[in-house]
Amino acid sequence: MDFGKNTDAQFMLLAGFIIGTGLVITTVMLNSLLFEGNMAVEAGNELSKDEIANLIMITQDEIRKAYKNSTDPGQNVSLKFNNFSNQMQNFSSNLSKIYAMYGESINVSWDIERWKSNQYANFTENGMAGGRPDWSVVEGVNASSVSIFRFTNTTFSITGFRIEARNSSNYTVWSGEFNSSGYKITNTTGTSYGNVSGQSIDLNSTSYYFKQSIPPGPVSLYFINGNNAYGKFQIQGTANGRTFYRERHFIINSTLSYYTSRLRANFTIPFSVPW
Amino acid sequence: MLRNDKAVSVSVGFMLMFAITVLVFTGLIISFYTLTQNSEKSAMRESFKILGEGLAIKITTVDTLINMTGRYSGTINTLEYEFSMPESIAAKSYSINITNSTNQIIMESDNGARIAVPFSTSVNFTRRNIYSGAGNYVLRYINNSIDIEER
Repeated sequence: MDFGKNTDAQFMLLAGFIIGTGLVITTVMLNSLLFEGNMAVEAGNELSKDEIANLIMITQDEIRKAYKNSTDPGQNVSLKFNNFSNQMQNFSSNLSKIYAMYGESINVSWDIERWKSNQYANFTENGMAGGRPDWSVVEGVNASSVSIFRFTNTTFSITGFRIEARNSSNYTVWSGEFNSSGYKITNTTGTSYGNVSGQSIDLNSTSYYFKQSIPPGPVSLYFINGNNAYGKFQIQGTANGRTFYRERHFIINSTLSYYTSRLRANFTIPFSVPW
Repeated sequence: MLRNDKAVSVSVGFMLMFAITVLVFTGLIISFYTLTQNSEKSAMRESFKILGEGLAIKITTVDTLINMTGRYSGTINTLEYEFSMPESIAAKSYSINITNSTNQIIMESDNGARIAVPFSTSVNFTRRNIYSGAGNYVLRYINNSIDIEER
């Protein structure tokens, strides 16, 4: 038998090779199939946190605008609560329609009882009695540009409330301390003592040495022990080359409800007005 | 010489062929079994990673919402975030252990597939050990703490 010319098993070898290759391909495909088949894929979109942040911010802006619009000079004082509520009602219903288009349900409600009963905001960071008592009201202030620095309808407790103007080295160049019996001003040029009278204080008045005491250069205005005082404050001037305006009267609580197919959120936020 | 069939036994040949066939098939079956087991385990581990990281993101989302409300000095009346987890992965149930000591989501199954995903919250988290099967869960902010419950 001539082995070199015997071709009888060629097809058998070819078939074996094809079956072997097929087996390898099938195995690889089966492996992928098993892997994919066993994978658990979670459905559903992740919640966008920005949606709620936006809701809070636009509600804050609208409450402040509604308050300003209803209390601006020339407005009918007796209608201020109605005007405020009407604007907010309009805002709330429009917002609900907009959010509904994205499959989200929202509701905005507000409580103006503090405003109606003249319960002024505390001088804390958020205006609430339990808010942060020591905080920076505005930074980079050009003291000579401050045109309004006024407190009205204020009540100070015995332990006192303090305002500090600190320079860039955090050194206090001027401070005023107010309590129920009087005030004490400490500054770089002199000291003055007096009584707090009429619940109205204009720190631009010469007796408080605010503008006169502060050397050139930006200062930061701090409220210290803001929980020991409440009333209205108003500061206006230039900081970092831009006009700033800080004014606070009342706290308006707003309850926001935000519902999606997966999230249910309801929270109450105190917004200070007009700033 | 090629035609010499001395010392060739048909019985021995058959036994040899049979033994080799059995060995080859046994090897093939064991290989396939190992393959499926490995695929199952790898798939579970991958699924655990995806689900664990998804759960960590959800916990962080709830924490962010709490912080956001806190930044505005607000009060949370209700905060519930529903989510679903598969009842089984690769036809096997599993457990989710959410620890508050090491802040980890540990997902494991009986077949040894196990992963740990770290997470971080600024508020307290109530530690929970939950089992797949419920399918639907809810992350809830209650008593100044984030809790996870079966729905």
